[in-house]
Amino acid sequence: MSQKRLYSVDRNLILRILQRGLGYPLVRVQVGDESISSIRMSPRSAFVYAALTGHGYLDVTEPELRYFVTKNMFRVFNQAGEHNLQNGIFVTDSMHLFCTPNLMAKEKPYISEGDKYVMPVVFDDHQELLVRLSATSNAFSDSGLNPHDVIVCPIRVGTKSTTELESFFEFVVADAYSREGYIVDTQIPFYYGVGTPDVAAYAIPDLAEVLREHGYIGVGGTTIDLMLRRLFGSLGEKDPHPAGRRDSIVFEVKTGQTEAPQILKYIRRGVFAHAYEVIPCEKDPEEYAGLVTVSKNGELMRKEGLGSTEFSVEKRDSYFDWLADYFKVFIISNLSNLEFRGLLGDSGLSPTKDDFVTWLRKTAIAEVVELVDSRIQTG
Amino acid sequence: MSKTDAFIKNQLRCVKTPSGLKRRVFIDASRQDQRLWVEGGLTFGFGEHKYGSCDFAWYIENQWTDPYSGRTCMAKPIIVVEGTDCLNTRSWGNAQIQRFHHVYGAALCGVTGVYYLNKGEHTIRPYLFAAAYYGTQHLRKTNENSNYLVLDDLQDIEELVASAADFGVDSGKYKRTCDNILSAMLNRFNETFADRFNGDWTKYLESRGIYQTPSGWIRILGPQKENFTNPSKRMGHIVIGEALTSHFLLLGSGTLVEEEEFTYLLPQMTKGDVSTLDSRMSRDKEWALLRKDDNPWRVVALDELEGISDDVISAYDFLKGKNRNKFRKQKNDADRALVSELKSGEASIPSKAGRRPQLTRVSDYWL
Repeated sequence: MSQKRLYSVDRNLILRILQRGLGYPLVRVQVGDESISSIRMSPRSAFVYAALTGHGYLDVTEPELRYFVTKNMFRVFNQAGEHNLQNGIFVTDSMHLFCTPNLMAKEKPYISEGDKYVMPVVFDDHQELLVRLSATSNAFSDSGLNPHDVIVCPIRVGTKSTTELESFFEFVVADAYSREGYIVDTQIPFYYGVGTPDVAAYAIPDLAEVLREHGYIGVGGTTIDLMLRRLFGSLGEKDPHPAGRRDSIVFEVKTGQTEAPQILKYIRRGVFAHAYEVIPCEKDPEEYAGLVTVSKNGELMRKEGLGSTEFSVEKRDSYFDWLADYFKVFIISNLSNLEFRGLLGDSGLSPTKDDFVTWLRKTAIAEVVELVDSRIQTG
Repeated sequence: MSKTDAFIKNQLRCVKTPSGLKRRVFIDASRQDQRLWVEGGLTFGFGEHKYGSCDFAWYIENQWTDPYSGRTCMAKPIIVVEGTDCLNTRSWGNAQIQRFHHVYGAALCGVTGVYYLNKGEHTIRPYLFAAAYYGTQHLRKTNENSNYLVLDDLQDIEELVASAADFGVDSGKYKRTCDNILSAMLNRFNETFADRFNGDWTKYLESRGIYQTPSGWIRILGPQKENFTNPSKRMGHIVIGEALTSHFLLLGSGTLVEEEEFTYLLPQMTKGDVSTLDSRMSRDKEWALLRKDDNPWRVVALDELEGISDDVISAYDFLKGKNRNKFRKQKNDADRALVSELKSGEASIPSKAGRRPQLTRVSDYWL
């Protein structure tokens, strides 16, 4: 195949990818006289979807008529290999938990209650979108349904720029690789001056085993899942999973072009054993990376590339060591501020950035999980 | 989009919004903020130019006419915020100036523009406070509702929002809230100005690369042509921010009067470089702002100077294309020689900008 052809990502393709590619049920929601096709998700899966895609919960009390949860709100470290804690999950000058799913659920209890429905909405004008969302919210209320159960997947038409749907494909990759036992991240702190990959997936068997045992991930999971242990309970999946193999994969997503050569920058750091472009298109893989794509029916397809020639086991393992500290911060976000202060206080430390980072670096992830779990169970 | 935008927007979201006021904010991946305010966005323009997008706004449902497009909408902007967490990042220095002009667009439209720099490990550069303070005095001559506030405390924003909701932005009470913040800003500048510079404007301005010469006031800044064409350097943002702040500092010092212009000298660029950028970057927002006709500055390249010595030209030739951090001594030597020739009158600005400075104090810049 020599021709490269980009697929147009429309409402139907999105529904088919979520249904046939990822296995979420396609349902029709009866709203008044209208029957609307949508994808049903548990509140937990919906939270991960909302955070990774940036698609908001329908809520007319909010600007833009949606309540947004975005992955960038949960910032941890600035750079890979460093422990310079950033404002995000924590406000670092006072070292208190500022942005966590638990705090969000206190403000918007609906995010943890009831199944959610992902509804693609096509629009070509922003004001028109707002009018439609307002009408949809009213129609749901009038039909006795909860409008907050809708997550709006906006699809802009009539514009050349289609980058707005890149985050949707980041979710698709994250979900698919989670099911294969990987821990997946889409807000990756990477090396200074190199840029930020869209998605990375890590197989770290010993670390994943600890997280699995305590219900932070299922077979695999995303960094968002690590924050959801308290809000949604243990994932509790004890299914068989791939064992014993360390792996690291980087992905670069494009929805407006058929190539993503900047993935070479990430490959060259030597951390990733494999690399894939993620592009909804028809083409053979490039020489520098494999390809994750979709069929017109929404099935996911993976075409292998030649593999990275610049991969170094030492660099990957050093990166994995740092990743463990990075994951710990997401796990700690399950605590309340009182519990967090108690956690540090029990070690004779105060809630300062320096003390916290010191504690983080010297405490093994298994111990962090035990300490957080014991507080969740008694809290 | 900066990586820290989501945190700042999240902070601003926590500011209590009284009933009657509405909020406008977009998530980081959205490009809606780049649309004009009348089109439902967060960008303001004035004259023939747009000034860049902001992060957050409070508005009321009332008719508003956009001075840029002449169009009207039923959303009157009250307080518009551009925020950054740069004081907690390693690029805290340059990053502070990069978005100065975004807020200026809102303030030009008679809105309260707030440049919010979240408190961090580093401090706000004092000249930002002074530039915004004197910028406000300048803007109020044509629109008394204009405010340009530089803040690092969410409490101040909360107070401002509450005051706008309780009394309305046309009230004396709201104006007093703004004036109190402006006074506090000036005090923060004066801590440095009095302590380190003994209140000596000439000394202070020189610390900012602004020199008094027989050819008039000259601001010297050292970007090379390539810095403008590489978007990651954000040089256009820095240069326009430095131009605006230099203008307001000069006005505040009382050494430049409203109708007077100063020279914005780019010694590492030639007239040809400027022409090239004029054609290559005609659609670049920041370059267009730098080069618009009614600016109070005139951009001048090294080879436009009259009487400049061959030694200075060679010194800058040597630096061309080089990383100035690695050739810091040579760069400092070249700058010193250039300033010396300009201050002595040996080198001068060609005729159009050749007006001499009028050393008058403008007392009405002070509250």
